[in-house]
Amino acid sequence: MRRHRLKPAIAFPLAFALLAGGDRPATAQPKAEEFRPQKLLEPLPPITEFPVKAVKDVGEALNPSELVIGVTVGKESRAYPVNMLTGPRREILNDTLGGKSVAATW
Amino acid sequence: MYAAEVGKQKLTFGVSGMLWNRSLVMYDKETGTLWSHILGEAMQGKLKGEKLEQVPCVMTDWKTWSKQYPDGTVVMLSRSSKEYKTDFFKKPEQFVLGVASGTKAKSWRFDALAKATVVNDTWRDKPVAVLFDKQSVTARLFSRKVGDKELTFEGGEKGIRDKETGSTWEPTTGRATAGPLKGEHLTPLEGIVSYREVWAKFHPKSETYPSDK
Repeated sequence: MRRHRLKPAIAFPLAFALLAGGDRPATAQPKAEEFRPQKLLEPLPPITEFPVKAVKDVGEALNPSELVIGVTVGKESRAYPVNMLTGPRREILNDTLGGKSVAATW
Repeated sequence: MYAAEVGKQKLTFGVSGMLWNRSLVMYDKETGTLWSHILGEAMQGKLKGEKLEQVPCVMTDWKTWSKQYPDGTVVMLSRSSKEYKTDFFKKPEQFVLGVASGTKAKSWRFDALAKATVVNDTWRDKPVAVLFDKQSVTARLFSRKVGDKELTFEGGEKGIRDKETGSTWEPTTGRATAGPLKGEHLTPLEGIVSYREVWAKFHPKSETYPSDK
């Protein structure tokens, strides 16, 4: 389990492509030649392990009004609380749901 | 939410430490390719030009989700923020639900969705609807086809109904809760919640609802 403490000062002004994260490019848009990313941090190792709880066991740990990204693949449903996904040391969780490899991104 | 693979190659994504248009750039551990998070497209490296399949998902509140999927699971990390509650959307005109594919993109503004609660529309020549739940501030894109029926939705005091059968539909799940189609599900489509400004930057030719023109 990774429990990186955040450095709020460098929190990503994330594009907040919540849900599905991204989507397909509508042409005319950012072509590769316009791809000029700005480096702010060293690359961080992918996150592949993290604790998961049964919805029934969450109790008071989550507030009813907290935002989650919810996904169902096959018969498996999982919620990713946004307040736990955000921050440069998180952002992407590599997961498996219903037998499918997914990247939950914020 | 993306499928973490291209062809038969499984990919593992990490934060690259870079931003592009103020948006996250991911890398994959297997090839080192750089990916735009918002476009789901490989921008630089071995897999350049490849696109990730989107997995339909929903952004909603914990109350709504936990009621709908009591047998599911939830990721439990320490909190890295407290900001993201339903009141995060207190300026709904700043947010859109967007969908994009190939050369096309379309977005629906949250303030207009909150007023209408449902918008019947088309996306890539197919009938779709955006259903909105005010309480949980959930916007979701669905197909309007159920079996061989094409439905047209309307909002109202008693929730969202279709004109063809009068069935009542739950906006966050797309499930019919009453009426002749009770128990049926609308097929969810990939849509993402984004800042309107960010959406416009990545998809400058996007159609918008309501029209920006």
